[in-house]
Amino acid sequence: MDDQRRGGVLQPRANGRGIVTVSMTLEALEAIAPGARRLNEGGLRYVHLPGLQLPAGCRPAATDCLLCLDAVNGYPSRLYFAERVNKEGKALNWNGEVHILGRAWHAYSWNYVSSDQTEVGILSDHMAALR
Amino acid sequence: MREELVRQSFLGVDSDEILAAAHVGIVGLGGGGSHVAQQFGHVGIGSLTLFDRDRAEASNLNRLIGATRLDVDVCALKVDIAARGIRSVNPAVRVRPIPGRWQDHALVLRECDVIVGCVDSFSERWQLEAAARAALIPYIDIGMDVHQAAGRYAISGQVALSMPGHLCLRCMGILTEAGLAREQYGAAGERPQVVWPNGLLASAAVGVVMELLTPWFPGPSSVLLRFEGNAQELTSDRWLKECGQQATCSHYPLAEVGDRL
Amino acid sequence: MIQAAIGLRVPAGLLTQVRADLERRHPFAAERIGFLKARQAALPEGGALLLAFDYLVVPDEGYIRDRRVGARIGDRGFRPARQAAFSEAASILHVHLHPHLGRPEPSSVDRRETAHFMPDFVNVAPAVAHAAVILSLDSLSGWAWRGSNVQLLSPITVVGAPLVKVL
Repeated sequence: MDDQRRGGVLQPRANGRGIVTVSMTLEALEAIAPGARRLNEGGLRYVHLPGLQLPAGCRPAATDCLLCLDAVNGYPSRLYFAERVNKEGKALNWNGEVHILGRAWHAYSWNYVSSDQTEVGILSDHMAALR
Repeated sequence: MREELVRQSFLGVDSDEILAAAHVGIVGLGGGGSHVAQQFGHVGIGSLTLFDRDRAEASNLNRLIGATRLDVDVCALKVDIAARGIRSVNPAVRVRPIPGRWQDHALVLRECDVIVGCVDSFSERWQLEAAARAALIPYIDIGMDVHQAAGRYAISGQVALSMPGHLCLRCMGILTEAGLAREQYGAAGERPQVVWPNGLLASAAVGVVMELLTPWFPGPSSVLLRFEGNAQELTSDRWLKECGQQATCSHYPLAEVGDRL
Repeated sequence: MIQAAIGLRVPAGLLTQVRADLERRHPFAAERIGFLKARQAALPEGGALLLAFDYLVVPDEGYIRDRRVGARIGDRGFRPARQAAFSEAASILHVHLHPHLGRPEPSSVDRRETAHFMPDFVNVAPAVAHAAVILSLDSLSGWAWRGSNVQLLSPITVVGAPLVKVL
């Protein structure tokens, strides 16, 4: 089965039985951000995405990101950036200045993300704010 | 033993040395933290690191311990006000006032033996406890709230000890996703604050720290004290007292410590 | 030049587990050895904290008969610790017990043997410090290896109720 692309983001391949495993989803995330890995803190699940390439026109063009897969601060999931991202024509509400896993992170308010999808899909939906 | 501390010699033969060697961090030097700082200066804590970026305002004077009208006029830093008070009692204390967010000085926070959090949001508690757990530091949290219910005002609060390897604020029901969500979307604004429940809760928190540091009384590994201000009652959480000491925390496994990124 | 400090924090429950293991009798060794796993956390000005989170028991069969020393472990005893250092980038702390009261000091045998095996851990996980810790009946002390530098572990804090800090 060929990789499916959604919004320019790789979707994970299912195995022969249509089952997507945890390792598959991490592989898909690693394809987007080499070195991606899962971490937990305080009972919340995160995926660290080092040097994630951001959509065209973003400044910076790439930065470390942290995807929280669990409900946090009233959001079903959240994408944190190592620094605030600027893009001409985009007015983002950066309302998530937090300290997680020993580092400072920044997040914009973006609620158009369904949790009922793959992790890559969740990431893609968060990035839609920058496209 | 120093003459200033002879009346607390019951804390233990070497208690003055133990306290002198201790390094306590206080995050938030407002209504609760200013009380805590003052008391630590009196009992002989040897090193204190204070984190708060705010300055004194007129509306603080109803509860900010050590603050004067002059401090408000000159917009004095809250950490400097607290440090001044501590040094006036014991000039030998190593006080480090940091006029900023603890998040911007996270490595300094790690040097503390114990952290007392006197912060005013669930989000701050969430982050601060996580940082303390990652560095294997016991975290004492103080919270006070005035809320309206059935046409009356009620004062409540809590003091909790979050000890690495034992129950955390989520286990104790202090931090919940519902509470964090309400805070994210709730109305911002000045919350009511008054001095006497701050003092009561701060004193209880100092007592928890003293039980941790000195051998006078074998304190428990998990503490949750609930304050019902209208009834003037400060009580130990019954479940925690009876069952909680043996309970384990699933939110902060010991393996999730240190620099992992 | 002043060396940046390296401290150790050990949860009280974990230390209790360590003591219980080290106090067990071995079929032929006079004493036991174990390994704490720790993660490193940076402190200001180049300092570091070793945060102990797990304990590796050396099984009875990991020991080698040697009447010249209290205990000697072979490759079978070292391998799990070396593997943890390599695969988890964990700091490894060699631990044994001196059965007396007061602050423990390393014997000449302790110094010699530690200098012999510690480079193995430094080589497989050079980015983190490793250490040798000695427990007494009521205290503990330790030394950290950071690359080729050796320094006292200070402070050592047993994190629990009570909190015990050894400078």
